[in-house]
Amino acid sequence: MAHTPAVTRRLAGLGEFLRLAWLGTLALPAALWTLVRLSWRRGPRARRALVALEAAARSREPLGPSPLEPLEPGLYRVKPEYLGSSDAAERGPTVLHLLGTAEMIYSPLIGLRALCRAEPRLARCRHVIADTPYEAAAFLGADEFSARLRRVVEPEVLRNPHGLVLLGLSRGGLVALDLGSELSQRFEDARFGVLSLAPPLCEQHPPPPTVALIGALETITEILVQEQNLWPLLRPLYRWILYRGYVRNCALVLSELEMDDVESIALFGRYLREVEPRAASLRGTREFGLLRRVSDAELRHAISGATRRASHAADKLRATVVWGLRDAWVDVPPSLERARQAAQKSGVAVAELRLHTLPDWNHGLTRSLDRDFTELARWLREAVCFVTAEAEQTAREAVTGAAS
Amino acid sequence: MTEAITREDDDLSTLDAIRATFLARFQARGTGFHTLGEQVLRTHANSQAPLARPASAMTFRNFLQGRTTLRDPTGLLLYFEALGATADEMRKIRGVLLQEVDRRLAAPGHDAALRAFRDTELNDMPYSRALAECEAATRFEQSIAAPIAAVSPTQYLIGNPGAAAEDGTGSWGMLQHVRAFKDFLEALELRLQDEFAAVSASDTKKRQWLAAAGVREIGTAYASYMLQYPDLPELLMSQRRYLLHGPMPERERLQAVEAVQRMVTSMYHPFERFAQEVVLGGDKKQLCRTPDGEIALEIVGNRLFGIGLMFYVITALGSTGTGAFFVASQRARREFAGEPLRGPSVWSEHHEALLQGHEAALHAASDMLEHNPRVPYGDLKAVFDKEQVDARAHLLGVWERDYAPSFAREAGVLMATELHHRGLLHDSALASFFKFFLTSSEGKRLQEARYPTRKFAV
Repeated sequence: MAHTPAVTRRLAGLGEFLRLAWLGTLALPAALWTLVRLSWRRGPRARRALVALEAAARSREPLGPSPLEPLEPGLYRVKPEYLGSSDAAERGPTVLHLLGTAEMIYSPLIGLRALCRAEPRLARCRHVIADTPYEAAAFLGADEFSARLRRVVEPEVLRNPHGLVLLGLSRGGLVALDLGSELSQRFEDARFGVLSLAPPLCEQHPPPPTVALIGALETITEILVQEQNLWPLLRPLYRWILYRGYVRNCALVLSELEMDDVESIALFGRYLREVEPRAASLRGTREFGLLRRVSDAELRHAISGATRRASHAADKLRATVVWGLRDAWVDVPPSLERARQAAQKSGVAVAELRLHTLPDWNHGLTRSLDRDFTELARWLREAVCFVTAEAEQTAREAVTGAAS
Repeated sequence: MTEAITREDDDLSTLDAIRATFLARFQARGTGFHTLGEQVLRTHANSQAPLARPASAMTFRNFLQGRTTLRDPTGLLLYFEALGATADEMRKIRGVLLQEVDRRLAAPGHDAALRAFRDTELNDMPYSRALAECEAATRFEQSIAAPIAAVSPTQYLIGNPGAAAEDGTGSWGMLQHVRAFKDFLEALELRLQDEFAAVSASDTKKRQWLAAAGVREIGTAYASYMLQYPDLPELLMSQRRYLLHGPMPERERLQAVEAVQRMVTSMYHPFERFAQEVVLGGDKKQLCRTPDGEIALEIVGNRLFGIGLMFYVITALGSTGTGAFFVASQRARREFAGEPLRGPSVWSEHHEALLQGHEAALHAASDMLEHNPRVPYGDLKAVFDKEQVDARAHLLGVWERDYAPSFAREAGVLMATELHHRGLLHDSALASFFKFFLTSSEGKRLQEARYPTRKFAV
């Protein structure tokens, strides 16, 4: 008996449903145990974050003007007025912000404003945020991810042939190092500054419980999204599970990394109201799945490749790498040691790759608001000045050339 | 003391400065050019070290007066020494002279050394004269067997960027070629990734099929690209001749290394998916991403990369010239063509057409030369150009018949043995993989997996 395509699809869907039930049964004890542990440690704070996040996401108030202006797909420019810049004309170089795992386009804003307050000249730069790709294929592996992110940022790179500052957190910090070193080779008369915050350079054993928990939900989330298309009657239930799961995960991450201040929660709520919940929850769990899949060997390739290229980019690249010593997600001492060894092996000058640690700071760094941002702002300012010096010189030469 | 100070102050940073400095030194010396020439010849004759043969004294005079074209600056070096150049000054002079040669070769309007090889001029020349020019230039490269492709590292690496707009890929160097190839492979790989990631992790069969089809597709893309752009393999597998006439531009060299690294990464991703899905059955432990797994992938990737090259050498290059390599490597297949065989037939119309086409082109060219010894070089070249264009479809036909069907099989066998060799696949797992992959119907389906339509356009 030949089945019609619809029946075959439904049968496959039933199979997936059974698989979901089986996976759920298998994953349940581990998930419950992790939840109990996390609740014990960070329960009240996570609950407060969850309540605030849900309230912000459910709010009926009009959204108001966005602090971001879309450029190309995946690229957003921060409006100067948001940073408190009275001068509409942007004078400094472009600062390209690269996001970490579980972040969304508004995540860097609050910290960026605090940085600009600590160092007002930073507000005059052009700030552009590169969003994390949504395609499933981007999360197959680290190389696949970086290839797609490179495509997202390419228009901004081409707009700034004389130099660029790259600022990234966590995974974004690693990409910033990699991309910065690559660009310094690609462009002859350009300088690149990098401020890499809390990049993971070593695999952590075992992975942080939050990462393990959310990463383990990747397959279940994918099945839920598939099932939603097959069983219209159950669609509201699936949608509710997906949405609740995503919001819970976000609250957990925000509280764990101490990024749960009122303004950040409000911006996250704005994002939840704007985004399609299926896409957001899929991307959210896939990001953590990727984090679990990335191997130590890949992280080692990334840092050794970046230092190797930096060693050839004499005076064209200035990178600063910063970790908080109380980092909940990254094993800082081995990462620091690996960065030192890679720099030494490639013969990178100390001035070109500076490694710093901040005592008592968590993984969020520029996203943790209740801190003194003076040092971070100074390092970013140094990166900006490094790029500007060359840009000004090139502009002067162009003017002299035109005059002669 | 005064002389030493004067020498330290001499500017030797440009060709004109060198001329002015040594003209002044020559005039201060108070002898003639012939006397200088004799002194240089004596130095050359008495020297134990292998010095470059000096140019004539008149050539040196012309050089000082700015009247000569510098083809080979090494013949002038002994003259500078005779006029009292120090070791440091000689180093500067060599640098400037090499840069000058490099600059003139790279500048489209002044490439005197390559003037004869511009297509239009060469095509209009009588065949015999074109031959003489080629021979002279080949000798200049000190390598009779080498075709003329580029004469300096700069041209080899970055080609002639000024002419790129009109000339297409013809003026590209290695850097542009590898960048274009990297973009091509990366775009294909992104498409393959999208298709693969769209399939649920639970649909093992489909994921395995896509992984196997991806391996074949990337191999076919690689072979097709090499056939379409034969300059790429020529430059990628470069030889010593490119290094003989000047310094290698370091920045561009590093960029080329970077581009090839990314190209290779794009090429190995389908192999990795294949290893994870087919050989390791899902690879939940992420074995492919351990140091041993990465090394295994790299080794197998190198060998599979070699299959593409083997095809290019045996079929594409081996079927030109005398065609002997292709004929010799296909003897049994040609001999038993049309006879009943247990395996699939192996000699196709593409194989035959490749040989016939080349023989026809050889005969046509010989006939043209016999009828008119002064046949324009361009007419002769047109015969072989047409043959090359016609052969491309047949070469792809041979790839599809001889190489592509076994690409996934070879990938599976190489991958399993290498993973086993590196301790990532146990004996029993290796045996059950071979049984599944080589003998079961599902294994055959994976070996034959191919996309119904091409995922790339060259």
